[in-house]
Amino acid sequence: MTARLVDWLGRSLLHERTLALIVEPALADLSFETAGPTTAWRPQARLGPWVAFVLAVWHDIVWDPRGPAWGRSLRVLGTLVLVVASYHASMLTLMLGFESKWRAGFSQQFSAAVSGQTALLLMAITFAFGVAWVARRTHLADGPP
Amino acid sequence: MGASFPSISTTEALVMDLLHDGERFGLELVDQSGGSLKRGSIYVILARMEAKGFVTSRLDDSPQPPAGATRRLYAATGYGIQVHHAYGLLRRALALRPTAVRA
Repeated sequence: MTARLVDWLGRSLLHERTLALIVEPALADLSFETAGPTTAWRPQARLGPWVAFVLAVWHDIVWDPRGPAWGRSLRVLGTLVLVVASYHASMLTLMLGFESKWRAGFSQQFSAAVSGQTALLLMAITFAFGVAWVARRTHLADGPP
Repeated sequence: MGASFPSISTTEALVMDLLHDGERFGLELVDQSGGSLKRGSIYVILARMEAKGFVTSRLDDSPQPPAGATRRLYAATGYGIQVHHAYGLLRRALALRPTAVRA
């Protein structure tokens, strides 16, 4: 189950070489250990591919062989997220209102506004990253660097 | 001017030490490191080292468990050994800095 899920996620999200060098060896270790007689390392063995997958995502972003191209996308993505975050932060400030700062119920109002804005911001970031991944994979499909 | 100066971290130096006498699997390196290398991060370190040209890897051709992925064997390259050796000398040379210079 672990192996199939990590493998599927890796094939969907990661660069082919990152998958081959980071995730697949971790999965191979898992199958090697679960097939062997020792069971002492099983919890770590199950966790290993997940840790490897998370680090592989990070590695794929930072150490991409198409670094310069992806770096530009990251800068654009960062700017977009910053713009959205600034907009929502401004809206949050306006919605709270300075004169109502010390009124009763401020904390409820604040937490409701923050949770609403956080949800919007998370949606914006998720959307931006979704678009970035698709664009990147399309870019990768063009051919080798 | 575009060529960058090779750098080797202490973790990478440890991997190079462990690979000095031949090929190793990732898990063997974790076992032999005495807890300094973690099983989740070892392949990221090895992938970076391979990108730097310090190690090389190949798929293991010995029989694998049924329905399992093939394990990967890692070996140090001549270039990696050279950089590791040079950095070892540099570290030792810097460690010999006389205390009088500091004052």
